[in-house]
Formats: sequence, C-alpha cells, structure tokens
Amino acid sequence: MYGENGHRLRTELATLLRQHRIQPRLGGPGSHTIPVTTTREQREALGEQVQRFRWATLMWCLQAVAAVNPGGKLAQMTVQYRRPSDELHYRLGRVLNSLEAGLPALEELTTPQEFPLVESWRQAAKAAVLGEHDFKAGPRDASLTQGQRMAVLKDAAEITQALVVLDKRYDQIPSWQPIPGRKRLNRTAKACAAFAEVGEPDLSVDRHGWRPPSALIEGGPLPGIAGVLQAQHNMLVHLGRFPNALNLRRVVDGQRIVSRDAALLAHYVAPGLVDRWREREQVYRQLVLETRNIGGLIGGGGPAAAEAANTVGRLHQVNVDEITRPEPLRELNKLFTRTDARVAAIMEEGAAERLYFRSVKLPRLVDASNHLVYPARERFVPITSSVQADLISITRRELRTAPLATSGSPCGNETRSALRESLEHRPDRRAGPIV
Amino acid sequence: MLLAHAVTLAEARSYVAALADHARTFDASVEYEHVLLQLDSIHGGDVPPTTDVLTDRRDVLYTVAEAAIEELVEHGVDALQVELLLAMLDEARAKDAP
Repeated sequence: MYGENGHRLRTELATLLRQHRIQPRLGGPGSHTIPVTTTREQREALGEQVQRFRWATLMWCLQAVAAVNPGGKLAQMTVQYRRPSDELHYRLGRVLNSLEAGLPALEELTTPQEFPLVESWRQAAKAAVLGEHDFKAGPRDASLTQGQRMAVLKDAAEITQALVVLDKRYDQIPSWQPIPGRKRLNRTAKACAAFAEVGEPDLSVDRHGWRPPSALIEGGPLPGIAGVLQAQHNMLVHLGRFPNALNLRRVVDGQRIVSRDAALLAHYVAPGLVDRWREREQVYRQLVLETRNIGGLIGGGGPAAAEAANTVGRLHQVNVDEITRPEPLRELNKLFTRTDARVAAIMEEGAAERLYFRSVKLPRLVDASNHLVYPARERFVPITSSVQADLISITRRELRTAPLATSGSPCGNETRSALRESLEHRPDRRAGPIV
Repeated sequence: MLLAHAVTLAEARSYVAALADHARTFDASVEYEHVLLQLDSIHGGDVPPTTDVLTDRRDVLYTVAEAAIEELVEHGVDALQVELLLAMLDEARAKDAP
C-alpha cells in the first residue's frame, strides 16, 4: 500500500536526518573516539552505493509527482506558467537525467549492509522501489480526490527536501556527486509542500495502492462460525474468476440463505446487524427471481458455487449459543459487503461484455414447427436490454455500497510529523558538534 | 434441444418457479429454487424462459410440475436425474405443508 511504503521511506529518512557526522559512520576519519576502519576507496564505493539508493528514492519522488500531476509539455512551459507541482515535476526530471548513479541492482537492495547508515539508505531505496507498484495500481490522477493528490504531492515534496538536506551533509564522501541545482530543487520542494498544505491533504490515500491478492484459507473446515467465515472468504476469492450464469445463480441463492440464517444468529449478540441482513436476504431474493431466465456459458465459478454451498451447510450447523461475541458476525458482515460489491461488479461486467443473456418470448409464433399449435418464438437478448432492467437496477441500487470513509494509518501520520520535525528542527551550526 | 423438449422444459420450469413464488415457508421456497437450479444444471444452463401461470393453487402447480418433469424422460433426459428431481420436488412439498 502507498501508506505502508511511504511510512518505511519516511522512517528511514528521519533516521538519516538525525545522523550528522557522516565520514565516521562510514568507517572514515573525523572522530577521536571512533577508529578509522575503511580506506578511501572503500568509502568511495560506499558513497557510490548510497548514490544509487538516493537515485531510487528520487525516482519515487518523481513518480509520485507524476502520478498526481501528469503534466504534459513541462519543458516547453516557461517558469511563470508552471504551478508548484509542475515545477517540482520538471526539476526532479532534470535532476534524475543529470545524475549518473542509476538504479541499484536487486542484489544491492536485498543484501543487508554492514554500516547502519548504508542500511538505512538500502531500506529507503527498497521502500521506494516497492512503492512503484502503488503508483501503477492505485494513486493515478483520475482515481484520487483533490485532497488525496495534495497528500501525495506533500509527501513527495518533503522527501525531496530531506534528500537535499542529506545531499549537503554527504559532500565530504570521496567522489560524491551532489544533486545538481539542489538549492533550486529545495526551494521548489518547499513551495510545493506549502502549496499542498493549503489544499488540505487527505491522508486516506494511504489505503490506496498495490496490496497482495487475497489467498484461500486452506485446510479442512474450521469449527463453528470460523468455518462459515472460511467458506465465505474462499467463495469471495473464487469469485475473482468470472462465473457462468448458472454458477452465479447458485452463489446468489446461497447468499440469500446465508443472510437469513445469519440474521437469526445475530439476534442476541449483534442486534444491529439483524435488519441489515434481513434486507440483504430480500435483495438476494429479488436477484434469485430476476436471474431465473439468465443464461451465459462463458466463465467458470464452480469452486465459488461449492464454497457458497459450504457456507450454507456450515451455518446450519452453528448453534446460536456458540456465538458469544459480536466480532465474528462483524467479520461476516465485512465479507458480505465485499461479496455484494463483487456480485455487482460481475453483473455489470456480464452486461457490459454481453456475457449474460436472457431468453425471452417474442410476440411472434414459430410457423415452421409442423405442429397443430404454434409456440411463441424465443430468442436470447443481452441483459442490458429493457427486458431485464430490474436486474441491473437492483444491482446498482442495492448491492453497490458507498465507499468506506477511510483515514490515514496512525503509523503514516506519526512518520509524517517525525520527518517534518527532522526537516524543521535542524541544529544550528554554531550550537556545537552533534554526533 | 427439440421444440417439444423445450416446451416441456419451459412448462416444468414455469410451474416450479411458481411453486417457489407461492411457497408458504422460506425453506420450501429455497427447496423449490434448488429444484429449478437442478433442472437447469441438467440442461447445461441452456433453458427456455419461464412464463406466468394462470393459477396459484399449490396442488395444481405441483401436479403440473411433476407431470412435466416426468415427461422429460421421453425427451432423452436421464431417468435417474428425473427421479432425483422428483425426490427433491417431493421434499420441497413436504416443507411447504401447513
């Protein structure tokens, strides 16, 4: 997730910002109490490695800015016409073009380092590289609100500032290549952070981005309500594959029964869920009626239908006395919400891609049947047509849930303020040495 | 599927669906729906649509549905499958009893 990788990135940079004397931290001279353990060539090699890790982190900043500010012809824009986000996008692009370090190799990213300073850089670079998934899978310009875009922009601006501050401190490392135009980059990053601050950043963006796909809960059936949750979860995972019409009907039928039985179980422990689940039962009853004449041979869904039947069977076995806490039922409710969303998505896909059809009788007769009674002519029509308007409207009205209001993760908020403090409370040079 | 088979199947589906709609209890309605699903599974999901039936008397609906399902044997449907369907229909009716 964006929040997870951003949290790791900020944690490592805040750690690095707290470290001031760099040469002794690489085994070099500069301290009477710490012996010199590395040669100039070794420190040079370590410096080159840090520069590659810095390159990966700068690349993350550029990708973050590009994700929320696609820009366009930035090079052709004059400075007066660039917004702060355009300017940061442009400056980061130029810096990366002029630095020669390049991305670290996979071995470098995965091998633990001897010096804690280099290790912190490695962790930061690793988070930055993993963060690339987030921009492809989540935070793209169209999918974010204005507040969320501002949050990403602010993160990128602050991390850029941190990199500039660190760059100044690392000047004494042999063969260190400083960031070209770092003063200007720093000014731009500060302006961009202030610009984003005015736009009221929305930290719920932390929940966006790549996350590992849900896995099946393997093994035999778990006892009691846990077995019900297991089967419902597994059904949801199997529904990731598009089901054919018959299996979709089996799943819908299973959800109708499960909603009704779960409402009976929730009566004493979680009365707040009873009405919701009874409503859900009615919605699925309507869907059962509306899907009776739906056909469609494309897709699978056999395992999903089997798990739906498992859910029904296991829920029948659960005694109301076994449930003493509301938590399992709340978990079941979460699974119901996700199942509803998935069923709605399947219906929409089936309609949009013309994978589900409805057989209808036409107001004409089969006149070539050679029978005394002419039956009505039948044909299959896509479910998008007016004959099946109810199915789509029920799906859109009842199954689509409002997006959950999410806030930023507590860890994300903490590391944001820690990094900001590290940037704002840098020690005065005249205050004396700090190790 | 030949036309006569389709007509019989449509009749069986329509009457089973009507039984599900008019069932007295939730469990009976669910069981009738399962008969309908099983009927459709036997035909690979390629089925004619249901139509409105002219009565809501359960005994009439049941008799017609049972007769239509029995008739499916004449159209090449496996006799064992038909017997299983009839057993399911009977079970559903037992749950629908007042």
